[in-house]
Amino acid sequence: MAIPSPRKRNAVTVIETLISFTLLITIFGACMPVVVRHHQLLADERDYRLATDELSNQLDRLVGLPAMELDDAVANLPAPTMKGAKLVGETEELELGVRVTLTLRWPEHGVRRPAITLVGWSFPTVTPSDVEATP
Amino acid sequence: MKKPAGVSLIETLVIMSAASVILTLSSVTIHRVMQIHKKVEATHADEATAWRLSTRLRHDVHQASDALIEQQADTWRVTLLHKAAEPTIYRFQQETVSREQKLAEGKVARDVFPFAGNATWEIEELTGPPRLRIRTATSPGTLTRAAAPVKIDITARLLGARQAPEATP
Repeated sequence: MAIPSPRKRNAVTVIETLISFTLLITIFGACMPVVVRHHQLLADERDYRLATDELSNQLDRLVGLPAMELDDAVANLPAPTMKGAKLVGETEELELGVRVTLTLRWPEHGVRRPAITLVGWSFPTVTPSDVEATP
Repeated sequence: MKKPAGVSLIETLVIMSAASVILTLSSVTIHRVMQIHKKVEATHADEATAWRLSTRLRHDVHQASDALIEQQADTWRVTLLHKAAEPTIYRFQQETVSREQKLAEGKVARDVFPFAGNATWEIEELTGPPRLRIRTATSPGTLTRAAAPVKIDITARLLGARQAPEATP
Protein backbone atom coordinates (compact mmCIF):
# COMPACT_ATOMS: atom_id res chain seq x y z
CA MET A 1 0.00 0.00 0.00
CA ALA A 2 1.47 3.34 -1.04
CA ILE A 3 1.77 6.04 1.69
CA PRO A 4 0.61 9.45 0.46
CA SER A 5 3.42 12.02 0.76
CA PRO A 6 2.54 15.14 2.80
CA ARG A 7 1.63 18.11 0.67
CA LYS A 8 4.45 20.60 0.33
CA ARG A 9 3.56 24.19 1.31
CA ASN A 10 4.78 27.21 -0.62
CA ALA A 11 3.76 29.87 1.93
CA VAL A 12 3.41 30.65 5.65
CA THR A 13 0.22 31.24 7.55
CA VAL A 14 -0.73 34.54 9.22
CA ILE A 15 -0.41 32.88 12.65
CA GLU A 16 3.18 31.83 11.93
CA THR A 17 4.08 35.33 10.73
CA LEU A 18 2.48 36.92 13.79
CA ILE A 19 4.29 34.57 16.17
CA SER A 20 7.66 35.28 14.55
CA PHE A 21 7.05 39.05 14.66
CA THR A 22 5.96 38.86 18.29
CA LEU A 23 9.10 36.92 19.18
CA LEU A 24 11.32 39.44 17.38
CA ILE A 25 9.62 42.41 19.05
CA THR A 26 9.93 40.73 22.47
CA ILE A 27 13.66 40.14 21.97
CA PHE A 28 14.27 43.74 20.83
CA GLY A 29 12.09 45.03 23.65
CA ALA A 30 14.13 43.07 26.17
CA CYS A 31 17.48 44.19 24.69
CA MET A 32 16.84 47.92 24.39
CA PRO A 33 16.42 48.69 28.14
CA VAL A 34 19.58 46.66 28.83
CA VAL A 35 21.57 48.74 26.32
CA VAL A 36 20.17 52.02 27.71
CA ARG A 37 20.83 50.92 31.32
CA HIS A 38 24.39 49.98 30.41
CA HIS A 39 25.04 53.48 29.05
CA GLN A 40 23.53 54.97 32.20
CA LEU A 41 25.76 52.77 34.38
CA LEU A 42 28.86 53.92 32.50
CA ALA A 43 27.88 57.57 32.99
CA ASP A 44 27.03 56.90 36.67
CA GLU A 45 30.40 55.25 37.26
CA ARG A 46 32.22 58.33 35.95
CA ASP A 47 29.94 60.77 37.81
CA TYR A 48 30.44 58.87 41.08
CA ARG A 49 34.23 59.16 40.77
CA LEU A 50 34.08 62.85 39.84
CA ALA A 51 31.66 63.49 42.72
CA THR A 52 33.94 61.75 45.22
CA ASP A 53 36.90 63.78 43.92
CA GLU A 54 34.84 66.97 44.12
CA LEU A 55 33.86 66.26 47.74
CA SER A 56 37.48 65.39 48.65
CA ASN A 57 38.74 68.59 46.97
CA GLN A 58 36.25 70.79 48.81
CA LEU A 59 36.75 69.05 52.15
CA ASP A 60 40.53 69.33 51.80
CA ARG A 61 40.14 73.08 51.31
CA LEU A 62 37.59 73.57 54.10
CA VAL A 63 39.44 71.72 56.86
CA GLY A 64 42.54 73.82 56.09
CA LEU A 65 40.73 77.11 56.68
CA PRO A 66 40.90 79.03 59.99
CA ALA A 67 37.93 78.22 62.28
CA MET A 68 36.45 81.73 61.91
CA GLU A 69 36.23 81.41 58.09
CA LEU A 70 34.83 77.88 58.10
CA ASP A 71 31.12 78.69 58.55
CA ASP A 72 31.14 81.27 55.75
CA ALA A 73 33.00 78.92 53.41
CA VAL A 74 30.54 76.06 54.10
CA ALA A 75 27.57 78.38 53.55
CA ASN A 76 28.98 79.60 50.20
CA LEU A 77 30.17 76.40 48.57
CA PRO A 78 30.96 76.62 44.84
CA ALA A 79 28.67 74.86 42.36
CA PRO A 80 29.88 71.34 41.54
CA THR A 81 31.11 70.58 38.03
CA MET A 82 28.59 67.73 37.55
CA LYS A 83 25.44 68.72 35.67
CA GLY A 84 22.40 69.17 37.91
CA ALA A 85 24.23 68.21 41.10
CA LYS A 86 23.92 70.24 44.30
CA LEU A 87 26.56 70.48 46.99
CA VAL A 88 25.48 71.24 50.55
CA GLY A 89 27.52 71.37 53.71
CA GLU A 90 27.05 71.73 57.43
CA THR A 91 29.31 72.25 60.42
CA GLU A 92 28.94 70.97 63.94
CA GLU A 93 31.08 72.14 66.84
CA LEU A 94 32.11 69.27 69.05
CA GLU A 95 34.64 68.81 71.85
CA LEU A 96 37.46 67.67 69.58
CA GLY A 97 36.92 70.27 66.87
CA VAL A 98 34.50 71.17 64.11
CA ARG A 99 32.95 68.36 62.09
CA VAL A 100 32.31 69.32 58.46
CA THR A 101 29.78 67.25 56.50
CA LEU A 102 29.51 67.68 52.75
CA THR A 103 26.72 66.05 50.74
CA LEU A 104 26.33 65.95 46.97
CA ARG A 105 22.83 65.33 45.62
CA TRP A 106 21.65 64.67 42.09
CA PRO A 107 18.18 65.37 40.77
CA GLU A 108 16.34 62.08 40.45
CA HIS A 109 14.76 61.79 37.01
CA GLY A 110 13.35 58.31 37.41
CA VAL A 111 16.79 56.87 38.16
CA ARG A 112 17.77 56.36 41.77
CA ARG A 113 21.16 57.98 42.42
CA PRO A 114 21.98 58.04 46.11
CA ALA A 115 23.58 61.15 47.58
CA ILE A 116 27.27 60.98 48.48
CA THR A 117 28.41 62.25 51.86
CA LEU A 118 31.94 62.88 53.08
CA VAL A 119 32.88 63.96 56.61
CA GLY A 120 36.03 65.80 57.71
CA TRP A 121 37.33 67.37 60.88
CA SER A 122 38.81 70.79 61.45
CA PHE A 123 40.86 70.76 64.63
CA PRO A 124 41.87 73.97 66.42
CA THR A 125 45.44 74.89 65.40
CA VAL A 126 47.94 74.64 68.23
CA THR A 127 50.99 76.84 67.65
CA PRO A 128 54.29 76.45 69.52
CA SER A 129 53.56 79.76 71.34
CA ASP A 130 50.29 78.25 72.68
CA VAL A 131 52.22 75.28 73.99
CA GLU A 132 54.77 77.54 75.70
CA ALA A 133 52.00 79.63 77.22
CA THR A 134 50.46 76.68 79.01
CA PRO A 135 51.61 76.44 82.62
CA MET B 1 2.16 18.01 -14.57
CA LYS B 2 5.33 16.62 -13.08
CA LYS B 3 7.00 18.73 -10.39
CA PRO B 4 10.74 19.43 -10.94
CA ALA B 5 13.01 17.48 -8.53
CA GLY B 6 15.61 20.28 -7.97
CA VAL B 7 15.79 24.07 -7.82
CA SER B 8 16.19 26.40 -10.75
CA LEU B 9 19.22 28.64 -11.33
CA ILE B 10 17.11 31.74 -10.62
CA GLU B 11 15.98 30.31 -7.27
CA THR B 12 19.59 29.52 -6.30
CA LEU B 13 20.72 33.02 -7.28
CA VAL B 14 17.93 34.68 -5.30
CA ILE B 15 18.69 32.61 -2.21
CA MET B 16 22.43 33.25 -2.52
CA SER B 17 21.95 37.02 -2.88
CA ALA B 18 19.57 37.09 0.08
CA ALA B 19 22.08 35.09 2.16
CA SER B 20 24.96 37.37 1.16
CA VAL B 21 22.95 40.50 2.12
CA ILE B 22 22.11 38.99 5.52
CA LEU B 23 25.72 37.92 6.11
CA THR B 24 27.07 41.37 5.13
CA LEU B 25 24.63 43.13 7.46
CA SER B 26 25.39 40.79 10.36
CA SER B 27 29.18 41.05 9.87
CA VAL B 28 28.92 44.86 10.01
CA THR B 29 26.82 44.60 13.18
CA ILE B 30 29.26 42.13 14.77
CA HIS B 31 32.17 44.46 13.92
CA ARG B 32 30.34 47.40 15.51
CA VAL B 33 29.53 45.38 18.63
CA MET B 34 33.19 44.40 18.95
CA GLN B 35 34.26 48.05 18.59
CA ILE B 36 31.78 49.14 21.27
CA HIS B 37 33.00 46.31 23.52
CA LYS B 38 36.58 47.61 23.16
CA LYS B 39 35.46 51.16 23.95
CA VAL B 40 33.57 50.03 27.04
CA GLU B 41 36.58 48.03 28.24
CA ALA B 42 38.86 51.06 27.70
CA THR B 43 36.39 53.28 29.58
CA HIS B 44 36.37 50.87 32.56
CA ALA B 45 40.18 50.73 32.51
CA ASP B 46 40.34 54.56 32.41
CA GLU B 47 38.01 54.81 35.38
CA ALA B 48 40.05 52.28 37.40
CA THR B 49 43.28 54.16 36.55
CA ALA B 50 41.70 57.50 37.46
CA TRP B 51 40.63 56.12 40.88
CA ARG B 52 44.14 54.76 41.46
CA LEU B 53 45.81 58.03 40.41
CA SER B 54 43.44 60.10 42.55
CA THR B 55 44.15 58.03 45.68
CA ARG B 56 47.93 57.83 45.14
CA LEU B 57 48.35 61.51 44.18
CA ARG B 58 46.20 62.80 47.04
CA HIS B 59 48.21 60.70 49.51
CA ASP B 60 51.55 61.91 48.10
CA VAL B 61 50.51 65.59 48.07
CA HIS B 62 49.28 65.32 51.68
CA GLN B 63 52.70 63.97 52.67
CA ALA B 64 54.60 66.71 50.78
CA SER B 65 55.91 69.94 52.29
CA ASP B 66 56.36 71.74 48.97
CA ALA B 67 55.89 71.20 45.24
CA LEU B 68 57.98 72.26 42.25
CA ILE B 69 56.10 72.49 38.96
CA GLU B 70 57.90 72.53 35.61
CA GLN B 71 56.41 72.43 32.12
CA GLN B 72 58.28 71.35 28.98
CA ALA B 73 56.17 71.23 25.82
CA ASP B 74 53.37 68.73 26.53
CA THR B 75 54.97 67.32 29.66
CA TRP B 76 54.41 68.53 33.20
CA ARG B 77 56.85 67.50 35.90
CA VAL B 78 55.76 67.84 39.51
CA THR B 79 58.34 67.24 42.24
CA LEU B 80 56.80 66.72 45.66
CA LEU B 81 59.31 67.48 48.39
CA HIS B 82 59.11 65.54 51.63
CA LYS B 83 60.86 66.35 54.90
CA ALA B 84 61.86 62.83 55.82
CA ALA B 85 61.97 61.05 52.47
CA GLU B 86 63.26 61.39 48.92
CA PRO B 87 61.12 63.56 46.61
CA THR B 88 58.30 61.98 44.62
CA ILE B 89 58.37 62.90 40.94
CA TYR B 90 55.20 62.84 38.81
CA ARG B 91 55.32 63.24 35.03
CA PHE B 92 52.07 64.09 33.25
CA GLN B 93 52.49 63.40 29.54
CA GLN B 94 49.37 63.26 27.36
CA GLU B 95 48.03 59.72 27.86
CA THR B 96 50.45 58.61 30.57
CA VAL B 97 51.19 59.68 34.12
CA SER B 98 54.25 58.21 35.80
CA ARG B 99 55.36 58.32 39.42
CA GLU B 100 58.90 57.79 40.67
CA GLN B 101 60.46 57.81 44.12
CA LYS B 102 63.92 56.78 45.27
CA LEU B 103 63.96 54.28 48.09
CA ALA B 104 66.67 53.00 50.38
CA GLU B 105 69.60 50.93 48.96
CA GLY B 106 69.42 52.65 45.57
CA LYS B 107 66.04 51.14 44.70
CA VAL B 108 63.46 53.17 42.80
CA ALA B 109 59.68 52.76 43.07
CA ARG B 110 58.01 53.36 39.71
CA ASP B 111 54.33 53.40 38.87
CA VAL B 112 52.57 54.16 35.59
CA PHE B 113 48.98 55.34 35.09
CA PRO B 114 48.08 54.79 31.41
CA PHE B 115 44.93 56.26 29.87
CA ALA B 116 43.18 55.29 26.64
CA GLY B 117 43.53 58.69 25.00
CA ASN B 118 45.39 61.97 24.94
CA ALA B 119 44.73 64.44 27.71
CA THR B 120 45.79 68.05 28.13
CA TRP B 121 47.00 68.45 31.69
CA GLU B 122 46.75 71.66 33.69
CA ILE B 123 48.62 71.95 36.96
CA GLU B 124 48.65 74.93 39.30
CA GLU B 125 49.39 75.86 42.88
CA LEU B 126 46.50 77.39 44.80
CA THR B 127 46.75 79.71 47.76
CA GLY B 128 44.58 79.94 50.86
CA PRO B 129 45.57 76.67 52.37
CA PRO B 130 48.50 75.77 50.03
CA ARG B 131 47.09 73.29 47.53
CA LEU B 132 47.98 71.62 44.27
CA ARG B 133 45.37 71.33 41.51
CA ILE B 134 45.74 68.75 38.76
CA ARG B 135 43.09 68.52 36.09
CA THR B 136 42.54 67.52 32.51
CA ALA B 137 41.22 69.95 29.92
CA THR B 138 39.46 67.86 27.29
CA SER B 139 37.87 69.06 24.09
CA PRO B 140 35.25 67.07 22.08
CA GLY B 141 37.82 66.28 19.37
CA THR B 142 40.26 64.61 21.78
CA LEU B 143 41.43 61.25 20.44
CA THR B 144 40.63 58.34 22.72
CA ARG B 145 39.99 54.62 22.51
CA ALA B 146 37.43 54.90 25.32
CA ALA B 147 33.80 56.01 25.05
CA ALA B 148 34.74 59.50 26.26
CA PRO B 149 37.99 61.33 27.10
CA VAL B 150 39.15 60.89 30.68
CA LYS B 151 38.17 63.69 33.07
CA ILE B 152 40.19 64.33 36.21
CA ASP B 153 40.07 67.20 38.71
CA ILE B 154 42.07 66.68 41.89
CA THR B 155 42.90 69.37 44.43
CA ALA B 156 44.95 68.31 47.44
CA ARG B 157 46.52 70.20 50.30
CA LEU B 158 50.27 70.18 50.98
CA LEU B 159 50.16 69.03 54.57
CA GLY B 160 53.83 68.09 55.09
CA ALA B 161 54.72 71.73 55.87
CA ARG B 162 52.62 71.70 59.04
CA GLN B 163 54.79 71.39 62.12
CA ALA B 164 53.56 69.65 65.19
CA PRO B 165 54.31 71.59 68.38
CA GLU B 166 57.22 70.31 70.39
CA ALA B 167 56.17 68.15 73.29
CA THR B 168 56.28 69.90 76.64
CA PRO B 169 58.46 68.22 79.24
